[in-house]
Amino acid sequence: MYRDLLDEAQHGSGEAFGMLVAGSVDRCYAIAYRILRDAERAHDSVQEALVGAWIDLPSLRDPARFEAWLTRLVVNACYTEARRERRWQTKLRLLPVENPVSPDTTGAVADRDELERAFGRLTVEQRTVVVLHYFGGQSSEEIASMLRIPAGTVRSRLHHAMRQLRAAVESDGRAVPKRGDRSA
Amino acid sequence: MTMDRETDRLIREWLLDGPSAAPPDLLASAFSEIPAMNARRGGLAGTRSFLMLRRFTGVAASAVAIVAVVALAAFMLPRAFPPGNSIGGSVTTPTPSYTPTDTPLPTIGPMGLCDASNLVAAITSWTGAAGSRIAEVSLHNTGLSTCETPALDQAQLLGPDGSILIGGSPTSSPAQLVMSPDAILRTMIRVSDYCGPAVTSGPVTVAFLLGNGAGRVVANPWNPTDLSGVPPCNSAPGTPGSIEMQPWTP
Repeated sequence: MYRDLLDEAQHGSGEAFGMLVAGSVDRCYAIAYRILRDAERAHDSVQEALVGAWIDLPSLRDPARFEAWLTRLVVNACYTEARRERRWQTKLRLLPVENPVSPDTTGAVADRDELERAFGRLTVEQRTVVVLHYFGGQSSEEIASMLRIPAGTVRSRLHHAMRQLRAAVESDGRAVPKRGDRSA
Repeated sequence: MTMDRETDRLIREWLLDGPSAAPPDLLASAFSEIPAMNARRGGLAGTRSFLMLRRFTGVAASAVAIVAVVALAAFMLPRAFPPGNSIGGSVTTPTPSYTPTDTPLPTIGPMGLCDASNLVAAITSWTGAAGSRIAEVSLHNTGLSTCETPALDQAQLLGPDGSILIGGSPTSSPAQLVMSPDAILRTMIRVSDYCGPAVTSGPVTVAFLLGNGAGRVVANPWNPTDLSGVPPCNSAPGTPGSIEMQPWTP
């Protein structure tokens, strides 16, 4: 059934393509949102990836790789979106807050806030492997195969990303005992 | 990997705490983009592709109910653009041929010609896809008056020295662009299968030819060293590549 759909889509059936991506779009969006941490940008990235998928579907040789292939398109679109974001950010100037709000003393909220900020400081490549590994449940090897990069690169990105995230949580004071890693 | 379990748990929870479903309009908006893009590719890819895409728009709408309204609207709009607007081309041996952008434009109407120095083209992104690269390009009229310019619908992929890496073919039905002050038009360029001499330094960019050999408008590259636009070679060395573009749209 799945292969038939893919085959039909590769031969130009829009109906088949619609059914294929309808089954994947939630996962694609969830991944894009977590990489970019922005609903609108995630929306744009997935949209761009779907357009690219339709264009390049005939070149997909291994039908079993459709999900991985589509995810790679989403990740690439997120990279593009993140680069765009970075260019905008360079033009931003931080202004002092005149009446700062008292920080939330709830540990969980503070942890999440720290995580959010620390995650934003990671490179988009690091964010991607963290999301694919911890949210997508994929191994380093699977991520490497999907993104066409060495598994060692995936592990390295994951290691450095986690070190930074852990340091952010620990610096908050509620933390989590260290086990030998230095803060980034 | 050494990993603190508590941090691991926190991060997992934090990552899970987000949307798990796409917004309902996402598929609709994506599908609405597809016919618009591909209707214009049709001239290059052939009538078959164009017809398939038209079929795609209609059928996808029936498959996903929410797609219907947007897809239909998108289906109607691209008809304003004839499929023959697509451009194809072949790889040429790089030849230094950088033409300044300030070439005087030919007279085309009473409105007034755009001064080429007021037209600023720029690549705003490159997107990698399997076997091809897609550039988003903007064209900004920085002049103070409304003006006309030939359609700029013959595209080239340029190497760092201005040499033509992939050249598009001229279209037989040139249109004109009317640009109001500060107007920005956009297009997408898709380049595929570059099998020419290796390009090892950047930037690569795209150019748009004016009609009748009147010069070309060269887009500012995405960044000064950018090589993102060099598509992989999936054929034998020297095999013609291709470059396609959408018509300019606001």
